[in-house]
Amino acid sequence: MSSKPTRRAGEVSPEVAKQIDENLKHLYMKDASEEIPASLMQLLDALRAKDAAAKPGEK
Amino acid sequence: MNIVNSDVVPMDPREEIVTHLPSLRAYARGLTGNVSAADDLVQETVLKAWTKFAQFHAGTNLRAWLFTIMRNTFLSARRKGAKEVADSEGTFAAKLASKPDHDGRLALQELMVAMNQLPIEQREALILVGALGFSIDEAAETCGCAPGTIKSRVNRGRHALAEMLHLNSEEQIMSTDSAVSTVMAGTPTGL
Repeated sequence: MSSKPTRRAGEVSPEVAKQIDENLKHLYMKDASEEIPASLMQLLDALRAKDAAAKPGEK
Repeated sequence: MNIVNSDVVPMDPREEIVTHLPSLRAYARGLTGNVSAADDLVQETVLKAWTKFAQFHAGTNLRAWLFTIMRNTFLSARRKGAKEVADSEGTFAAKLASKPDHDGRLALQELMVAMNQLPIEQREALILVGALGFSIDEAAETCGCAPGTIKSRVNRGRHALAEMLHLNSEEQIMSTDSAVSTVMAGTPTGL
């Protein structure tokens, strides 16, 4: 950690890269993980029910 | 190129798909910049995936497979002009702004606006690798390009964000008076 790796032009420091990534996680994952919309779960249920109604292997 | 993990007993993709919904939603939000368009995109992706499960080979990386379907669906719609692509002032940003409970939330809105100004290739590479923790190889498989291309897009995307948010040097992270400094300095409390 004490030695600083050389960076190419246009590259941000590893610290800045890490902080950007951490905040991207907050930005995109927090709200997306909160609750799956009921409509989406209903869609999955409907698709599974449709599959269950068909004979296995029949496609 | 397919990433196959032979050490893991494959689940039925029809069951496993549920575990990928949060990250699919996150990717969709990054692509569309819009909450409702993102959820529509997730639904379309699920429907398409379901019709293609017969072609899915057990042991294939389901996550990358699903993300590729989502990406292709989005890009196809974008080419047809059927969807708004980026919405820097749109509903996702508005949702963030509607909860001004701490500086971190406001800073995230700045980050969102900055992200939506990036070219789609850089934005998706940053979301996949930075936000969702994809490996470079997995992101490359998802985007159908070389790993070096993903690395380059991630680097250019981070650089552009750092420029827009005035985070060009490590010294500036703590000194900027922007609200971004709060969130960039560490995990906001209360999250």
